[in-house]
Amino acid sequence: MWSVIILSGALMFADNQRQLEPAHQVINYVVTAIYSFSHVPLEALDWGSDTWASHQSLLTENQQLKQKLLFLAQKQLKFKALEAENLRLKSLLRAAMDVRGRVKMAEIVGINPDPFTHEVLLNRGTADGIRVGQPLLGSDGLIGQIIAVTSAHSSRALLISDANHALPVQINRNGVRAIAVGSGHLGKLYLAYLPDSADVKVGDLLVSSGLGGRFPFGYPVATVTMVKHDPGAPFATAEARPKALLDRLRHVLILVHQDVVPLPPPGPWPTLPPAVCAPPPVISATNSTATTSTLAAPVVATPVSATAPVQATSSTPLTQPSVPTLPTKLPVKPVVKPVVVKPVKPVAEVTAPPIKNKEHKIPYQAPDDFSAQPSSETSSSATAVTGS
Amino acid sequence: MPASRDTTPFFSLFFSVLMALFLTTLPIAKEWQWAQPQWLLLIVLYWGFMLPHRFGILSAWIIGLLLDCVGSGLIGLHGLVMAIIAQLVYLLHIRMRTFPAWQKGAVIFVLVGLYQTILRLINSVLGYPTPEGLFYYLSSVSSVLVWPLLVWMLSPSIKKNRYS
Repeated sequence: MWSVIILSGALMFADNQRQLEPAHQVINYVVTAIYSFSHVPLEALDWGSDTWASHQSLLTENQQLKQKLLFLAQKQLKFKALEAENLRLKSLLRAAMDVRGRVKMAEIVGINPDPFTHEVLLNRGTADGIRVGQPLLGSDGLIGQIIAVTSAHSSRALLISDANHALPVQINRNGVRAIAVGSGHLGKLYLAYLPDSADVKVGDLLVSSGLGGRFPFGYPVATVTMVKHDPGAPFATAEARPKALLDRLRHVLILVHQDVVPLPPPGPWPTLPPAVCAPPPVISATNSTATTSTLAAPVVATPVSATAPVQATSSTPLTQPSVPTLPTKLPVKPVVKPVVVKPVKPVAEVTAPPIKNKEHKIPYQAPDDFSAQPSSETSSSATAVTGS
Repeated sequence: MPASRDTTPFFSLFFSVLMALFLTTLPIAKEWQWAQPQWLLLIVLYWGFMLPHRFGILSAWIIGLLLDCVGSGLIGLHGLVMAIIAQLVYLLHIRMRTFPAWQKGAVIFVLVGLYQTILRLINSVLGYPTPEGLFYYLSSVSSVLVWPLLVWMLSPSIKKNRYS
């Protein structure tokens, strides 16, 4: 008995000191086999429900998916425009890089049986280019990150709600930075080291801040559910609920490759890669006067909005893009105005029903908040142009 | 001196452990995991009570290590706790035979509860969050509830030559 106790104690100590890494490699192979074995009934269930599903339910599902697709495609149109504009504004501000990623879809094939840890097993591995540290995304928000690649077709991922997980976030409303620490409970994250004076409100959306270099910037993470200011405590306590439904996931996206795309050097209206600024087909209807009006938008709007310190340091690049160079890059512009203003609203109303349904929520919430800015800019620019 | 010599094939022991492992790793939503029976511990308890001279502390320790490997905690943690429980099972196994059914259930409940309590204690020392409230012990309750099923399934595999 005592020998067993001493042996386990030694094992635990060695593991705690990270001395058992080679053993973990072997264990991971074996465990992967066990998990794939226990995944069989679920697959059988899936296959069964797909095969013997009623015609009617399939039709309904098809209908729903089509609606969702339409809605997302329409969203995508707007995103293209916003992305192009965003890239342009960034280049104005001499922001050096933009990170875009390629994603791989993965299925959750196993869940760690230990209720203390929030860890899942995925069916993607080295063969798919998966590496430790790659972030995991869901349709609603960030989910976690890869912590071990166990074989050619399997890997382990830690969810953001695990007590050992933390990620840098910032509040979408005002950019206040914080660290979202997992609590060990699925629906709860803590915000660590939040100053008592920080501007945090219940309902604030937390997006990943991109600091630390592991998670990309701007993915929704959680919504603040509770803020408490205790005069006796050094920091305010805040809780947030993850946007992604961490316990109802089957399929996730792994951000496999974070392409760091160097932006063109700052100058008068840099040309953008065609993929980014390819104008959606809707635009052919617009005339050239509208495009020139939107062209003026960034130049007019940026100093007004929030970039006072930036303007002070780098006033030359901001003023550089002067009007004479504009006509050469015209094809870029038309994107902004027509898409945002005209066709969006009616389509959004037509396809609105799927949003109300919990399962068909719009995947990416942040752009809704972002969309307020460009539309206001375009309107302000429009007024500016008409005024002039 | 054993009162009987068992000839239970090794295969049934091995297979029962495999099935328990399978049930443990079955993908279940995180919240339901709290209510999941401790399948591997129940296997240790069953064979510990039924075949105490074949299934002892060392076997329990190995099964615990298996559970450690499947999970992600420290290697040796479940092994240690399983070994402690197996020692208790060895001390109790003769008395257990004289108990009525409800008392057997109570013993199972206490042993699974003790296993969970020790695990929780060590986990809290290691810095993992400890669950609030008593719902953590749902697992003990469900373990007791599946115990009769386990006995019904495993008892046919026990073969003993009684000679005393």
